Amino acid sequence: MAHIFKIRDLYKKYNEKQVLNDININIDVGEIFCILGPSGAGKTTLLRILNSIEKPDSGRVFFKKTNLLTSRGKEFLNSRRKMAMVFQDGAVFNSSVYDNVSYGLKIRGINKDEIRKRVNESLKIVGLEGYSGRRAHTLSGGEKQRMTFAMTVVLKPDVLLFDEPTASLDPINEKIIESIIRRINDLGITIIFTTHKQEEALSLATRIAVINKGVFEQIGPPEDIFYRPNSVFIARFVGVENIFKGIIRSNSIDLDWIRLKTPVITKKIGDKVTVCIRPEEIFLIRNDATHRNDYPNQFNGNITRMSPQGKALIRLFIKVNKRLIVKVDVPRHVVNHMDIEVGKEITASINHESLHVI
Amino acid sequence: MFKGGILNMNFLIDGFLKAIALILSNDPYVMSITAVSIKISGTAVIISILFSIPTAILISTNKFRGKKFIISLINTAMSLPPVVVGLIVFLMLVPAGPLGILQLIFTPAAMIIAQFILVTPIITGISIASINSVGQSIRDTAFTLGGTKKDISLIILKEAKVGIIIAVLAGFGRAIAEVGAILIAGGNVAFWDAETDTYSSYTRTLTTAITLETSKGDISTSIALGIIVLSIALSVNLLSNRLQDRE
Repeated sequence: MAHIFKIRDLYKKYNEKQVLNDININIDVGEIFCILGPSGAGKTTLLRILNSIEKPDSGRVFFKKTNLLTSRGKEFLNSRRKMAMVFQDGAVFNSSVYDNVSYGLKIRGINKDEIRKRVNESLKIVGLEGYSGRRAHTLSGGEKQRMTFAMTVVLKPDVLLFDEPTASLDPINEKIIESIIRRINDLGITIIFTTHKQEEALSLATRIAVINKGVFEQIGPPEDIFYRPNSVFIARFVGVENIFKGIIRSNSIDLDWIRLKTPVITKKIGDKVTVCIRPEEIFLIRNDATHRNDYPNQFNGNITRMSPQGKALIRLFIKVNKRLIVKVDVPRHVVNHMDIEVGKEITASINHESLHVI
Repeated sequence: MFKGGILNMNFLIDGFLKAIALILSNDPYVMSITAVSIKISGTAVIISILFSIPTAILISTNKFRGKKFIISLINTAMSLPPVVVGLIVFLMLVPAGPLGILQLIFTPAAMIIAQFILVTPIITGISIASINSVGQSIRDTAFTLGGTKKDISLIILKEAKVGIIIAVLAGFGRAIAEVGAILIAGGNVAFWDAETDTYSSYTRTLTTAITLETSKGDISTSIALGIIVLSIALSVNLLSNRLQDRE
């Protein structure tokens, strides 16, 4: 597949802080590529370098065939005009929505009829039809954000860069923005966006790069990042709540509170490892369940706390061996059905397929 | 002393009433002074705009060594003492001075030069501040949407428009109310027309005329001129405030 961006050996320092440290990546045409990481990890700086707003200390950035760091004049401007970025703070010009959205086309010397047509199309894509005459400063936060999307979509670019597109929005507007991003991608525009929200990365991205302290820790499809994280940092960051130290034995992994039987062991016997278990991958066993003994890797514990986890799940904090807490997410209807409450003793099972060993 | 006080009061009221009459009757002397004032300050400001605003854009949109120093120099120059500026212009333009050959001393041109020097730092300084307040995010937005250096300058100018208009009004307010520089450079000249026995201003402005008429004891003319200069300054200020409120 053709690459839209090719980044090689990219370094950037601010004062004494290394913001980007040896970044290498190819981004394919048509992707929704997510740069996921905590704040201060270097996400924004990377996007700003891709858009040539900032220069790296060293490295190469290719946009298609053009080296953005060495090209000049017309070639540079033409490459630059095939991409656009939406900033986190979403600055807007002090004029009407129409003037804001048409700005990029006006400076490209596009004729008036074409501008009118394309502005209307873009406003429709972001759900702001009929807003043309409004003053940009009178829009709500969500509307303003959508207008800044229209300002870039109207240019029909090859790639759009969105910096934390939902960071300052409420959940409803967040969903609206996510669906707009999908709609824009359906138009054939490659998307690169940054976020610190794992759910957003999971639901939107075709590929994710996890960045921490200026380094790409892992790059891969969402399933890899979420179910096969390659470091404890990523496991924590993507919401793997149960992380335990263990030792590999001949056909099990021994944690200090449970012996996990597993046929698939890629490590050597005696290796010290970290075991990750996502809380939604641990199952409760009903007291009246038939074939109770068929469930693998069972353990008992007491529920010490319960808290809602999103709309559909409830997180149980289960105390095992009087000190260790294992977190288990169960559907709300299961909680109701099984009469689960704080203080109750339960039995749970861990399927070996849900174990991830680092 | 007490009696004198009462007399003074009468003389003030009398002067004020006569001043109103002078303004309402479009007194040719007062009118010619007003016209010269507005013409000179207006011209100085317009010429200054052509220089100040491009300078402000260049300074605030470029990074260069000594930028901070230049900006603080401009800010200091905002409060140049007019008399000193007048003196410098006078020394340059007197027949024996380096630019004496231009024969500009005691002409409106000399006054325009003096006021240009006074208002340029004000218009430039306030414009720089308002352009800077437009902020990096607007520049970044214009850049990412494909703007060239020229496009970005234009959009910044558009965003800073109100601030720049306020800068121009502040410059005009300073010029119209200023007396020291134009008095020295312009010489406070008015010509006498023998036929009609009236004076008409050549380089006499509202403020310089007030100093002269007051020292001559023509209180009513001074008050009339004072009312006019105050009204102009007040209008400029009100306009400026309204623009700031709209921001």
